[in-house]
Amino acid sequence: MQVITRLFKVAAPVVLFLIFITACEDPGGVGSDFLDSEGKLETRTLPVQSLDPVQSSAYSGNLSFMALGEVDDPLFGRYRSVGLIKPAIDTTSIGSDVTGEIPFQLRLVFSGAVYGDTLTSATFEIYRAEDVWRGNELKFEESQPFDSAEKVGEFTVNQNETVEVDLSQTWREEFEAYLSNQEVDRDSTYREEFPGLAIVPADGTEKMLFAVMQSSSSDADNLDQTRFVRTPPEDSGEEEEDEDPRQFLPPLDWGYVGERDPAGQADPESIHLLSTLHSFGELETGLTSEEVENRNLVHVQLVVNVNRQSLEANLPDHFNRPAVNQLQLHRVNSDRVGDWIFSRQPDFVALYDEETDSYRFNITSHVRDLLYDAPRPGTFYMTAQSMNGVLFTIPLYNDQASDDDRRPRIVITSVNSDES
Amino acid sequence: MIYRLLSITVWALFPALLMAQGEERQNHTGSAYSHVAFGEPLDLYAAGASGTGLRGVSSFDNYVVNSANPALWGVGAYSRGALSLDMQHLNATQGVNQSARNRYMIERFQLILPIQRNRLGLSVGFMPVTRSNFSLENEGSMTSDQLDVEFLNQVEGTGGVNRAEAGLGYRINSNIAVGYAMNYYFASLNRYHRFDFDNAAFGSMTYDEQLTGTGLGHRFGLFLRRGDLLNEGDDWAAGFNIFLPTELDMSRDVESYRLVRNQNQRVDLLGDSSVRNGTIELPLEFNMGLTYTPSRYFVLHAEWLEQKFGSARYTFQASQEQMLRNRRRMGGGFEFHPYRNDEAGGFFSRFKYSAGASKDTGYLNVGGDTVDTVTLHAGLGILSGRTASSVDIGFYMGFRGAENSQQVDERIWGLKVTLNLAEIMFVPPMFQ
Repeated sequence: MQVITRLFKVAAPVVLFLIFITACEDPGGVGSDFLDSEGKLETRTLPVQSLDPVQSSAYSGNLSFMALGEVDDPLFGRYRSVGLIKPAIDTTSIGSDVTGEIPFQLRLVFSGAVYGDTLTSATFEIYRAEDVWRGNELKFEESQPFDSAEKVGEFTVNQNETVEVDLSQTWREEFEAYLSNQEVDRDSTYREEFPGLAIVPADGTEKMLFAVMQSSSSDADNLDQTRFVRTPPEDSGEEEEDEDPRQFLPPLDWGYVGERDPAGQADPESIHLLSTLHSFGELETGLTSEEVENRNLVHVQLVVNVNRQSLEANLPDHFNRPAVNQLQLHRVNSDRVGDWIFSRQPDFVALYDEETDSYRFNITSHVRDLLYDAPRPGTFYMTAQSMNGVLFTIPLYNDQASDDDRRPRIVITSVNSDES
Repeated sequence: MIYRLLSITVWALFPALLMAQGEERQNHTGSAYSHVAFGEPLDLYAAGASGTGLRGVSSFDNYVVNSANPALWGVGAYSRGALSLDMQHLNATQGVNQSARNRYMIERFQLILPIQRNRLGLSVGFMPVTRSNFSLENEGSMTSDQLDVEFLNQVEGTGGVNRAEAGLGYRINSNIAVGYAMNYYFASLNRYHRFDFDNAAFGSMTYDEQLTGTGLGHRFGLFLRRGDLLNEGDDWAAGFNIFLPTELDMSRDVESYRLVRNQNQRVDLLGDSSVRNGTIELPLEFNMGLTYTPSRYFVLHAEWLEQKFGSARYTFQASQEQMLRNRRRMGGGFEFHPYRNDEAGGFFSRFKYSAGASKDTGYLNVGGDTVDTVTLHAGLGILSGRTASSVDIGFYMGFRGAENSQQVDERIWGLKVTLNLAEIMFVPPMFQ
């Protein structure tokens, strides 16, 4: 046992030393000058092959916002938008007994976005639409006639305040006929026969407003979005004093149609992105794995600059355009580009960088696919903000811009693995 | 007997268990200087007298393996084995920066088997040659198309060059012995790189760099001995060992996990023009020592080591290769064996003591500055008594740095523990 005893005497200093050294680890910053970290990072800038304008048709029904009005933008052209809307025949809250003279109103809630002259008011006239339309299939360029002989209502919006418009008795009775219909095919009959209302900007209107159609809550009595309102007389005596006697009907279907004429100014250095898809960008990066050179990517950004000079040179007094906070990049693998963009989430989103007046897409994943596998098939298309019903417009410098620093470009940051 | 064997086995496994604990820690690191090229060269101290801080090229011990000189494998009658563990704590300063780093590793596994007792011996072993364990970090900034981005760069290195050795020692006569060993070198240098950027779009990125390669090397040893030279009963010994330069054919991989087509894949990050292959050339090494044993209680040693790192090659980084310079290490030490006095009965007389000092000119030229190391050593040997096995413990404290205060200064505390087995696990010589 002597050897065992002696061997175990060794244990104490060994274990103590081990505890001592394991308790004191602190890598610290010593030896940092051995690393040439800045020398390892490489940045290369490659111009994109092309960013060309293309156009398509955009769906304009059942979006979050309904564009109403007329605006003449010297840069992007004259837009005129007629709203289409019809109420739901929802009897759960109002019942099917709709006899009596109960006022019926359209309550329009507008977003803060205003496109056009901020000092003038906008007047709209409401007419009975002549043809039946379907919001899900509605496109901006479609022609939807309305019966201008009989005005259903009229209203003026000074800024973007909420308005409640009385609708004519004739139209109300036509609608109530569907509402009180007890037949089993009531809903389908209503959809197939009732054309709803057209909200038409009156002559002299010089701005476009955007009615809020969908918000966080879809409850019928959500007053943050556009509703139809019935206000029964308060003599029933059944309601409590504090209860709102009004009955709300959400819109069943909505959308907007219109025209763009003239199309605005063409600028050889710019490409215009319009959320109506009258103009958006087709991007050819021209990137190949050979051009990327370094496979150890950190970050790859596609940078596009706002043509601020063009934007401001064509900005009339008291004129406002909805801010474009982001651009979207879609990898489209279809001939029906507009449908693809409308129906799918974008592949990349670039937020506006105020400091550099640019948008920067992080397309690292695309370049990784290119380097290590193959990119998804398709072509890149660039659009402004989102297709939510608000009219977004932005001019970007294109690949013909005289200033190299403003042309669309791809900036590749990578690590040189051959450096220590 | 069974209990004893069990205890010894547990003790033999103890360093391995410690090592396993160490591997779980991600930050066990060594000197920042080991970042350069293929790492810092290691010195295997004498298995039975690590307190001298010397390799033991001229030191013969019948019960302990000798790793420094193949000629000594033919001398001695016992089968011998050794397992060594090295633990090191290092405090480094550079300007206002400070760091504390730890390193542990199994340093040596070696067996010497006498094919013909006291004439021809075979040695097989596994030992480290260099270690490149470090953790470095550096802050910086860059501009990427008008975007100013700050980052933190971290590089953690592990690995080094190891050798598996087999060789023979032959004792020609009572004064001369020679030896030869073939070494199969294999290098594995792993570096983990990480960048963290303050711009969220850049995020963070990591990648692993691995250099692997092998090579075949040779070494030769010579041992000379003469007794009764100055006084009756004294003993003089000289040892020589030479490692020939050895080339290792290396390949380099840089890989990481990346999201490709929405799948997390291990991808090769080296491009067509990147460096994928290279060479490490270990330098010529010459080691000689002189041992004087004036009495059975005292042994004096002196050693001189030359490593021609100036001619070493590391083709992956020309700038790092240029930092290598010839290394010279000189040291002296003594052993004291009070237990050999049969009349000594005190507690402290049961141990073997050793001490030494060494001066190392280093193998690096960093920005024109040489990095010297001065080390003080002390050790204790615990003998088993009836058996020939022992445990050797060596402490050392070193100061490494350059005259230029801008360079890294390191204060090193280390502990080496070697389990020497000579009679428990092997058949004793027939005529003992």
